Amino acid sequence: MSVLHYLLVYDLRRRTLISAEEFRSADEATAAYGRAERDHVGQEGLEIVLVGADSLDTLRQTHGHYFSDGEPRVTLPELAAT
Amino acid sequence: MELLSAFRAEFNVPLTKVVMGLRSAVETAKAPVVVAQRLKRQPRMITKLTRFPQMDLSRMQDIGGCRAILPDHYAVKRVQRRVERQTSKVVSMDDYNEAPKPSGYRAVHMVVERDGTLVEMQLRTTWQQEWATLVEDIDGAYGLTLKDDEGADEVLGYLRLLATAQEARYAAGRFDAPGARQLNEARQVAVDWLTRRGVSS
Repeated sequence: MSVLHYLLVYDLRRRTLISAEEFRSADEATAAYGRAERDHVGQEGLEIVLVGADSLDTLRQTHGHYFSDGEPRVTLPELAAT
Repeated sequence: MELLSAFRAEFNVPLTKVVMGLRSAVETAKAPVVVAQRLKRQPRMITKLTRFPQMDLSRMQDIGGCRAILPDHYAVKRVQRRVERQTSKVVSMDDYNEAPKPSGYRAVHMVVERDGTLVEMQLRTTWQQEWATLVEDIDGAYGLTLKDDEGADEVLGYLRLLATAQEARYAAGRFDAPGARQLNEARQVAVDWLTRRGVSS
């Protein structure tokens, strides 16, 4: 199994993923990570993160925050009657 | 910033090795392999150094981190034991299922040493992962830091109750469930507070 690295750029306010760049090389991915952070330094509305897994689908399960629905308000779950 | 980035890059190879070990532990535990890794964001590294000024960067335990999402507590226990057996250097273990964080956060965290660096492993059940995602979503949308156990009791109170309710539902017998009415009242308090605050702009 080889790890796929994804450099995610997420817009916190719009709650949308702006980009997910895929890398097979860990070195290239980490270099791009540093560059992206430098390019967006001080932009607090953006979250830039380097994650890796066997697929983007796995990342949806492990890092679901970056794949949210784009609704401006977060729905707080109720406790359904049991 | 260049230095911090270069320092962080050193964690990538040991992190990938630890992830391979974690994947194998999950497979052996006969659970679906839902495992991912992440290198800590520089702003989070800086926040942590600011919060804990005495912290030595080289001993920061989660610059390289990985996470397994598991179907239930039995799988978490099996994976945990497997990791303890296959890894000679488990530096620390925090069982937040036994002692949840003030926010209500639950998981098992283990820090292992690999190639002279520290890597954090998080073992979460699916419902704990949903809860943690909710907290991150609220933090992002409203510009809060609930993730760090900081914030208004109006919201933290609801999150704590929700976490307990989920445990009671999915890990029956281990916890007393808060009633639906109690939880939904707490939810309304949280919703009112968040509405007053408004989404960050």
